[in-house]
Amino acid sequence: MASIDIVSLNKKFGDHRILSNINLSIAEGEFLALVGPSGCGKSTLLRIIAGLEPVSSGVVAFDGEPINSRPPQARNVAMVFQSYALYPHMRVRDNLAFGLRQRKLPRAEIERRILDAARALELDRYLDRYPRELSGGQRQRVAMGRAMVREPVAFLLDEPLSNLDAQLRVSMRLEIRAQQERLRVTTVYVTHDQVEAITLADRIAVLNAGEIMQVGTPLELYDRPANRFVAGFIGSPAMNFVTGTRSDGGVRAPDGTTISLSPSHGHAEGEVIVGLRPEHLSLLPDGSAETPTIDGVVRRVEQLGAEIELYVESCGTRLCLRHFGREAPANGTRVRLGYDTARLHLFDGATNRRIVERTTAG
Amino acid sequence: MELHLARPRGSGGDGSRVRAAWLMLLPVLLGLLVFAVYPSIYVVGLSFTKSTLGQPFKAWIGWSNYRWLLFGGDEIFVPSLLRAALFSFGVALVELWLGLWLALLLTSLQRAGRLVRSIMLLPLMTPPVLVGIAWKLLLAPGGGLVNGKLLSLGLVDTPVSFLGTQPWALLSVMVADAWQWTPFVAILGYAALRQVPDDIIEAALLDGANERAVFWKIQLPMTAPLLLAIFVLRLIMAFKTFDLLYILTFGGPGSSTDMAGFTIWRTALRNFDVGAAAAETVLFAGFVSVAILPFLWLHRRVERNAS
Amino acid sequence: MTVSTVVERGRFGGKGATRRGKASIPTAEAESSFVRRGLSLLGVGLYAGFFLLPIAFLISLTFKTRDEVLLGQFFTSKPTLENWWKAFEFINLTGFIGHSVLIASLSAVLTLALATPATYAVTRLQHGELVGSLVLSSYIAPPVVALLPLFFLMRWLGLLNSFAGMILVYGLMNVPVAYWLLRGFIAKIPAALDEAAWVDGAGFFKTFLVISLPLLVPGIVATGLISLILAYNEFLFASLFAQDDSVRGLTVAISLFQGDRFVNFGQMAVASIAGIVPVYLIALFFQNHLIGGLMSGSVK
Repeated sequence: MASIDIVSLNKKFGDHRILSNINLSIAEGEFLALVGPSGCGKSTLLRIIAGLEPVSSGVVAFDGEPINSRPPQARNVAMVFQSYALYPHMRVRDNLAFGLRQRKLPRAEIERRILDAARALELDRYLDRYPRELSGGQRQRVAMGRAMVREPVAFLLDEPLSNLDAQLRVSMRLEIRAQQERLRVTTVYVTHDQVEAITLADRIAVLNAGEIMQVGTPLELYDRPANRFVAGFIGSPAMNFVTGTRSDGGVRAPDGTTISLSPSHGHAEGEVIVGLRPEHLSLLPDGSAETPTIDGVVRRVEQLGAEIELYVESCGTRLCLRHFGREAPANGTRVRLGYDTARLHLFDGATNRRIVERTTAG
Repeated sequence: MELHLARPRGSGGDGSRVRAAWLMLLPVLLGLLVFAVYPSIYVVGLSFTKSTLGQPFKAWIGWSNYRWLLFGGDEIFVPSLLRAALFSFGVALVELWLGLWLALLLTSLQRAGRLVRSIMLLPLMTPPVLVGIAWKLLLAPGGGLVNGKLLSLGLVDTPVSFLGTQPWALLSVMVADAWQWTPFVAILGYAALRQVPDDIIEAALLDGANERAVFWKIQLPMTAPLLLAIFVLRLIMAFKTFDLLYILTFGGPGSSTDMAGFTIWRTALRNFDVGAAAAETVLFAGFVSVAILPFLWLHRRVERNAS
Repeated sequence: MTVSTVVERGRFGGKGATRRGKASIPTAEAESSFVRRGLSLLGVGLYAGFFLLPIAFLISLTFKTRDEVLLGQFFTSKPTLENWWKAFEFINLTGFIGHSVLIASLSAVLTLALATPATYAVTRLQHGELVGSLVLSSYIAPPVVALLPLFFLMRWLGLLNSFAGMILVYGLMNVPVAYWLLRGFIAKIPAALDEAAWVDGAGFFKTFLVISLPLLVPGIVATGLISLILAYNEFLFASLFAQDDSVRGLTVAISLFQGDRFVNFGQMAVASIAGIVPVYLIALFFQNHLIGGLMSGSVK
């Protein structure tokens, strides 16, 4: 397997900028997820790595060697398409063997690899079937098998699970992770589903409108999002945002509520955006003495079985809060919410960038 | 007979829908009667008679037309049948090959492709009579471009009479036919190639296939049913060739480019033997069906395998 | 070829709106695809040249004098317009072309009127496939099969040598082709639309008229044009059924010139070119419709 480096990559389509100044380094054996909303350019980036699209400027390198001019068949990468792109007129066995036969591998070796992959993916019973005779999940596994037998320098997966139903998606997610850990091949995984990204990837690159918003481990992105976009993209349900003006010690929300900040947030002034994750808000029982608090009115209650999602009108907006337990206040009840200032995020109102906390350790 | 869409859950209006559909179909069915059923019966009847244009059904002579055509006397019809088969299969194959090449070229060009597509339509839309005239002039011994170039390049001493000598005469007709119909195959072939999803071609490329492998192992197998359909269609159309023959060679030299359709016409309207012409027609129709049937069957099988 | 195809295709018509439109030639591409492009262009150029050659030659002939014609060269050193006005003066060219245009257009309308409702009905009827196959199989028989019987029928009906007769014959003759073309277009209309109209209370014919027909306009245009061109180009029936110049069209008129041993190539070329012009104009203006029609006929 190879490391992949992308340096100053730009991709234009006529006057349309699809990717701007992308710099990304993927280590050997690393599982990197490319996430972002539709149209952000993540699929285009993947196809550029595969060689299916040319770059407008910039370099793509494998193991330090630029491969811009190498055509797809010479890059030895394997791709799993969103539509699986199985060869409909060939049996599963021949679908798996196709790439190997193109590289003129000896028959015994081809057989061995096919059987290994089939066993690993539980496809051995289907080797002689045609794609049209298989279910969606089985086809997905054949697509993965086709990539695996190639033993390529990198796996490229383009939203491979989006055509599956919810349950299958979860089980296939585990499958993909297991295979990747077993084979330790450099993997680039495109998805719009951030849960997939968080559970599968070693690192995540968040894209928006052709630019990289942040690259980091899932926890880094969760704990320390670099900007408001990443903060709102990662985490489900999404982070709550309140726009306000900053004055000493706190942020004044549009409805007058003051949100306290921790001392590490410093003392700057101006327009800011406060971010608080639903799991970091708590519903305070009556008579609780915890601080700091904000007041609000319950507007919606969603019972999810294991938890309750409460939507509370406060600070001039609707805040979402995750509450564990079965009892929830009824619609319209006045409630008091507690929050942890240490878990509060602050973003500059103009640039949307994270306002970095000063560490007390100096 | 229910309507395709009818799910009669108590709805009582189905009968009227079916009736309306059949009413819409009626004119065409009547047309078929006039244009297909009636002529078939009439021709069969005629074939057992001695007739002229002025007096159809003059006298009943049983099988003697057939006997004369197939077994003795007439030495023109049977060869013309075989020649029709040779011609039709020949041009269908050649045009399939040339057309597919052109379709492939078109898939890889964008702007130039659009220009060529406009040019391609012209031979297709040209009246076959005019195709004949154009090629007749091109190949003419005195004043034709081909002979002119051959002479000026010193490749021949005297003009070649393409349309007056074999095997050039038949070949010339085939070339003219290919000129007219290759675009047809190319357009349909292009549509067929475009149906292969990009994804699959990209997957094959990533799997390490070069263009040749992609064509032979992916594109061709996946478009095989459609290509076969195009071949059969061209085959059927080629058996109908008449205008080209009429203009280019009129069956000559002698009767060496006589093809069944033309032979029938000549028997009826030059030899005035309408009864024999009818018999020829019956034999021709039978021959064409026999020639085409195996391919239709093959096409149905290939289609079933692919779906 | 295919590599540049796919890479170009990735830029056109791939998933997502971002990939449509023209792209500049990327500088980071391998040089070998440049050569490949050159070869493709060369191949296509050869085809284009071959397709244009006879027509170009005909055009060049129209400008040549009798002596020049015998030289058998392509270009002319002393172009002349004499063939043009002579041809129009001595032959009733405009008349013949006019007849062809009239008969072809009206018969195309007839073909559409017959075939469109019929094709719709066939695709919606349970055993429609059978009728469809019957219609298509009538196309297999060479027209010469119907020549004599129709001749006798037309004579009996008094329709020989008449516009009405020609229009009727061509209108019916092209129905199988129209059916084949329209089938592809109709298949693209989702059955759900019909069902919605049905639930809304519309009858079968009303649904056809108000829902499907408007959606079929491109298909109808394509089919109508192709039927028109087929009727215009037809020769066999015309030669027998149109017996004098009052009804004769272009194809028959031209065929009559070439029996003459000392035929004037130049004038024949003029007649040919003038005759093709209406059809070529249609082909060029409506090429997208025509090509779309042909392609949809083959798509399942």
